[in-house]
Amino acid sequence: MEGPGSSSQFETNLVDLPRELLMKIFETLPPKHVYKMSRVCRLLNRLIKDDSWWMNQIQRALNGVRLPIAETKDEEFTPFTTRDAIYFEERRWAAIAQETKSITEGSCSHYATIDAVKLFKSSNGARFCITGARDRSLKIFNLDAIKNSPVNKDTWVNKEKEGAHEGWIWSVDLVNEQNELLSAGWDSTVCLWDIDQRPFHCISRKIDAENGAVTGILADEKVAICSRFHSTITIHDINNNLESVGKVRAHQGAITSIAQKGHYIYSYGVDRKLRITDKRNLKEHLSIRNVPNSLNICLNSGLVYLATSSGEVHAYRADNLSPSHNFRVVPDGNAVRQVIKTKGSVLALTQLGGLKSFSLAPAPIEMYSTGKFHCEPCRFDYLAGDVAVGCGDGSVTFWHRPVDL
Amino acid sequence: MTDSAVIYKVKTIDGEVLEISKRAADRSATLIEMLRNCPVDDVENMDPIVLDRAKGTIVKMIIQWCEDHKYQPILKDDKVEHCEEIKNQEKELLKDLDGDGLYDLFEAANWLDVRCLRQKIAKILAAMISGKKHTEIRTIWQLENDFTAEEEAQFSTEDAWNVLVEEMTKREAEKVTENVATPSASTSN
Repeated sequence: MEGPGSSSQFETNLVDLPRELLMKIFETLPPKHVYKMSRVCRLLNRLIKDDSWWMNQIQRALNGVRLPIAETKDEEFTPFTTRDAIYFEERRWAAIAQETKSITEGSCSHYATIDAVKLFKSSNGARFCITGARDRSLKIFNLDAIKNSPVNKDTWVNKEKEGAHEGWIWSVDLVNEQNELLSAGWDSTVCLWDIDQRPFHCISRKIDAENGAVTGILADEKVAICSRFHSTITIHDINNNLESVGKVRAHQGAITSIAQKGHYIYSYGVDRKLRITDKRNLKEHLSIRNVPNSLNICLNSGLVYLATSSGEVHAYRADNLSPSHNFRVVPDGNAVRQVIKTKGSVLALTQLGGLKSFSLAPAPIEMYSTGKFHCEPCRFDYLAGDVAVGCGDGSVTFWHRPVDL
Repeated sequence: MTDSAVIYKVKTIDGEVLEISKRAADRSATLIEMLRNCPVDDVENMDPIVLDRAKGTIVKMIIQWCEDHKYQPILKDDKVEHCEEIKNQEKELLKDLDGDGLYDLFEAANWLDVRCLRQKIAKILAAMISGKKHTEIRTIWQLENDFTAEEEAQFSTEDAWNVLVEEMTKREAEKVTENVATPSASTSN
């Protein structure tokens, strides 16, 4: 195609092209491939490292709509990673319609409603999912085993712990990303587990009846942050037998959902108040009242997302709790049980309409909907393309990230 | 007179005079604008429209493409997905050019604002370097490595973007090994 000295009738070289025209070539390539080309030469390096070009690409991907200011001003925001995430999510949800899902059954299932689901990857890349249910047991599923042996369901459960709690397990979270697990629930007990051992080995267990059932638990470096039925947020020392190191009455009534980032804890309660508590002194930093009745909150990209019982997702700025945008997910009368905001999409689990994925931007477009589940879904998790949904009958449904994505 | 019967004349920078039907000319937003500014009453005796930025060989190819596509819908905006697949006709047309000619055609399609053609060429140029290493891209596009040794070394230790790039290349390498390894359930202890 080309030789060192091309025919003399053609004069233009690639570098002679107008810059905007040159970038048009890159518009058709995957974002990561474009980024690799910044190493080719100085000209390309300058053009490709231009944030405004990536912002323009984001806007084009979202049909001309701009991202909320709270998202672009968030300290972790970079135009390239967001453009790349959008590209990934679009392709991921376009592929799911052709995929086979895996559903647990028989002995590898729980036998009661699953309220806690957490996906994670070990350091060597193996994929796992932790579930906690009302049958009081914890299970760890091996996603690679599920994918490779779709029929032999005996291999699906990697480890389990029956009777992990004396009541329903409401929430789990991972400490140090892989080898320690926190669980909590109806029995007002917080547990720390070593999950490298078989079976689970309980490192410490703390009963705290005074504050009632634990509705949510988060691992935050050295402490566990808990939302409680009796209106309080309690803090426990992970390295010291889960001893209580802090407590604050944050709401009037049960706290139903909790999130944290940096210096702040975000909580939502039956009092319909959304509150920010400063970790450093456990005092209220900010709060707003009369927030739509919600079942779950998710903190991501500078925004707090609420899953409302009337079928919508509402977003508020994380810094000042002013309303940012909202959109309808399902008709009124159908609740949104949980919302997860990823870098490139918004995912919502609904009571009667299954799991739905949406594009970013103030007016999101539905990318995919599973439709009604075989049983009412309760809780889900999403990690780098893998999906896990826990249902009311104790079963878990998995979708695996496509290999070629 | 029907659209296809109306023939305009254009004159290129190197003096060539070429003909283009109105219907085909409508594919170039630039030509539409030029004709709007100087309405032509007597088309047969008109002075040729001067295209002072492109040579005969290139304009000829663009006219050919426009004539071939004159009955197809015009791209309204820059949405990448909407252009139809490259057909055999075009493959031959564009195969005749070597790398340089393609840039000339690309620039002319841009200046004449023939959007579908511009997008097609962009895709062809992108396909040339898709998935290639940056060293290979230098050869294909005849670009000089004008980084200093220190700058090159710095690339490996640069910002978080590089971590993503490493992850991507690692994943592509894993895919290769995944295809050859026997699938066995990975056990943890």
